[in-house]
Amino acid sequence: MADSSTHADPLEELKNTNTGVENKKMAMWAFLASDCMFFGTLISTHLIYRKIYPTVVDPTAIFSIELTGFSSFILLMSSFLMALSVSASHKKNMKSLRFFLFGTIIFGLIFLGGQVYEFSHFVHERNLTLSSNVFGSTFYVLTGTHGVHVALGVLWLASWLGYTYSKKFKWENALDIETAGLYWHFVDIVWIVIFTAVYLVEYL
Amino acid sequence: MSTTQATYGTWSRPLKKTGLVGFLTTVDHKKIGIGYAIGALFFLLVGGVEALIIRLQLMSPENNLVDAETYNQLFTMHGTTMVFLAVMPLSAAFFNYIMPLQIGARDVAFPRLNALGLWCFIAGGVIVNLSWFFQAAPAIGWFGYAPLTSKQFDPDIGTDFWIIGLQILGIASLAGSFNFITTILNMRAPGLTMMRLPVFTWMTLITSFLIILAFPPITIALVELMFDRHFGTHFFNVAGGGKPILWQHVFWIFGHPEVYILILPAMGIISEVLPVFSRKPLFGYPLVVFSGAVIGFLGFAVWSHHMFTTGLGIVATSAFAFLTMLISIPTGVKIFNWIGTLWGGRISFSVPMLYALGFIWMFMMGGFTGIMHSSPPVDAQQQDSYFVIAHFHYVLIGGSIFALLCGIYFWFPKVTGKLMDEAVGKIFFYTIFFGFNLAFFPMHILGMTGMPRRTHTYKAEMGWAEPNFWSTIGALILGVGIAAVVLQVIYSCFKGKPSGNNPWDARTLEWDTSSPPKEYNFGYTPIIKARDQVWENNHGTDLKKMDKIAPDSHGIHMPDQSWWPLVVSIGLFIAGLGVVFHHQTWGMLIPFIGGDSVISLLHITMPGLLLTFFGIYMWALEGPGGYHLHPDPEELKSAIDPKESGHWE
Amino acid sequence: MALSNKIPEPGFSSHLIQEHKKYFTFFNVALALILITAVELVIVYIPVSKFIVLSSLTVLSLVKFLAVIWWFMHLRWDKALCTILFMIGLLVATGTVTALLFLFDVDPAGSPL
Repeated sequence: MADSSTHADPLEELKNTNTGVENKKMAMWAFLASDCMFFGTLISTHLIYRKIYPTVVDPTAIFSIELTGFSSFILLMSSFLMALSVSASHKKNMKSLRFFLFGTIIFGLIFLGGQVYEFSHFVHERNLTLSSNVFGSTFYVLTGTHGVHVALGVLWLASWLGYTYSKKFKWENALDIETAGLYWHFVDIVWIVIFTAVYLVEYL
Repeated sequence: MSTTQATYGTWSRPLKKTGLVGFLTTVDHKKIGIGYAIGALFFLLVGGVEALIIRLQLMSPENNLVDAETYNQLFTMHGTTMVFLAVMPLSAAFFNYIMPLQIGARDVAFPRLNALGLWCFIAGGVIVNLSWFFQAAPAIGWFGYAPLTSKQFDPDIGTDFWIIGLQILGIASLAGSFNFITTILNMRAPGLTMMRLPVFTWMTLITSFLIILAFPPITIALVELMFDRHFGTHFFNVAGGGKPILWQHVFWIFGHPEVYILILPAMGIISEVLPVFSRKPLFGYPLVVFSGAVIGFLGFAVWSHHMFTTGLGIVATSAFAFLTMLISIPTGVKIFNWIGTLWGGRISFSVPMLYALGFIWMFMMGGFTGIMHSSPPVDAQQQDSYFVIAHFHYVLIGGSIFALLCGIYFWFPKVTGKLMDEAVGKIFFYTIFFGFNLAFFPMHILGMTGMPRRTHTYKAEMGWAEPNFWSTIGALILGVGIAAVVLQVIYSCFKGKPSGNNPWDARTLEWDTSSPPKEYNFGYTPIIKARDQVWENNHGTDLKKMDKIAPDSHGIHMPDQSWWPLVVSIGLFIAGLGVVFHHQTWGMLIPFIGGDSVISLLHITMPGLLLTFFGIYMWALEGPGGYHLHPDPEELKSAIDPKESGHWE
Repeated sequence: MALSNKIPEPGFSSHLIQEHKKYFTFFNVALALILITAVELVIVYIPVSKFIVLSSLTVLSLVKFLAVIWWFMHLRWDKALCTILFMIGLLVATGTVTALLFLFDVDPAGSPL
């Protein structure tokens, strides 16, 4: 708390808080705790309606589990690449940082592409829209919200990738990359839950 | 000695501290706190007027001051305004102003995010109330039950104003809460362990956790409702298979923690004031803190007690009844501890103390009726009757409002450096106390004799005329009292006598600053050695006296002001308005010249969102910035040189 | 992992050894995630009781979930407070979802649409 005159490692300086956790990181973890409730409510809505109306649709006739499985792999790999980006930023390795960030973004975009394709396939070929039945409502709003989270994440990461080319980039920004990374990983774990609870359970 | 840099050559950070620019770009938690308070007091009066019209309508049987539709709008707006635009922001005012001072910090962890909260509060409050100007105030109750809120039964845009207003207000609350959690956990003065924190700061922390966990469900519920209304989904649409009861569940999953969000800060204020005016430390500090945490946590497990009459089934009903009864235990613990604080103390009946004592009594009464509600068979009679209205007004006015007024009188000298007249304050207190009880006590009787809620009139032969008449008289007296307090606050800002730093001989760290505090709060870094540190400094032993470390040669680091929180809020405001009006005609938005073409999301929402994103980008690129100040040497008189300070943890 | 004949980065320090070790941990975790997902995709088609498959899916997803938060999100190496903060949200959310699911029953009439 006291104004310190030792400016050793600016990144370590940021840990000079009561708890040893940097402010930004703590705020992000609090935000992710909050986001658990956010997605929890959406997932509840979907699962409640699946429980109430088990036969309103046959999701296995609509879903393409190969595509979704592929999207899941993609998102998991993007999470791996994100972890490597953060690691690279801590090692002050600019080339790796840019490479892995770029990879994360590409994989994120592939995931989004898969989602867009999936939605359009469901709408056009399977006649499932927001208003066709409750399943459509809950499915699209849940996975759509997740998709928006991914899109915002891609935007965030792309902004940071751009910023690494700016003269203003400093290695303290590793904390910001890490914070964005936490958000990205969270979006991944929400998908892990969605993949099982929305897609896989329907095949039982 | 300002070292503020220009950003990207084009925009420089605003530097003016005073005037309009200074206010619009402030990131100072003290100014933001005052902003919240002014907004909240304004909306308190708006909500009060709405209440008075309701009471005037109910004053006599088969009255026709307002018609049924207007009446429905009035009670909806009264509830929404009081909960979201009066009590919550007034609590936020105290969180903002007082908490950083209580922990010895210069500001909160994210000053610009803090400003965003203030501007989003204003934006949300304006959107909700804008509905009046379009003759389309929502008429759905503050809880907006489906399917009344569907497009089928509510084709006007009132509900849309409500949805969007609440979403933006939600952003304000969330922004504030992430800030406060980080600040309290990370920015305490050295030596200020969690168990030495003032109880008000503890309650700020617990309330912030409640907010971050309770607001997401309502955000989703509102999104689902909006989708039902605008995009044809079937979340709550019966014809499509939707279950309106789902709305009730999700709303109350938010709504129940929300009422603890409304009362915990109030309890925090009371826990500060009682010790000061009993000249005794708070009795059972760890229990009071722990009870607050238990109330907060249990608050997430009781939501269906608002739904006992919906046919949940025996198991669910019993479970929720049991858990609801459990909450009375930590609440009771707090009350016993407050009484223990008073016991054997040297009590002085200052105005804040009167409100605090009034709180204990009134909140207890509201609590008793609450316990009655927790029994499902009893609730079966009380649900949707005036008995419930009596209950929650006892806890919300007798509880929250009394405590917030207590806080105003208590901290006014610190914030303004002036005193509010005690004698006048006492007259207003008794006016409010009398008016409040006259207004709401008869409602217990009305409820028990069957008067239903939310009905704009009643027949003379029901026998409700006389209690309603007296209740209205009470409400008018209460209204006069509240208005008088607001006027006294304004008057005292200009004409109050100088207060000095600690007129109450209070106990916690904020009282060690000047009144009003300097921009940088503390000239030195305080080293805390005890709970109630200022009391220890003034009355305690040398061992526990606070040390002061002077700042180093750089001076005190202060955050720079910024335009971007305001810009982001304006962007959200515009985007929100666009959602409210989309599919309506331009002529509806801008009468006379608008024309008949239909507004699409691209016309208003899209530009609003672009402005929001632009604001966020500029915010990020600007960085926190900062400049240094050197404190008044007077403040550093007994301060230790930082080089000699060594380790103190 | 034993691949320690990696050439050190410039500015070599103990802090960097930790970071290097993390690479291998991350790689292993990623591999595990892929394998588990593949298993999940297969077991839904295995003709055993629903209960067994459902339990297995739950366990596998839980493992993936915990792996990401423990290693990728760094909780293993960070202060316990971060874990506590997140767990508060996760537990309240899980409790709420579970309670909600118990509160609703099958609608015998089926969906109108």
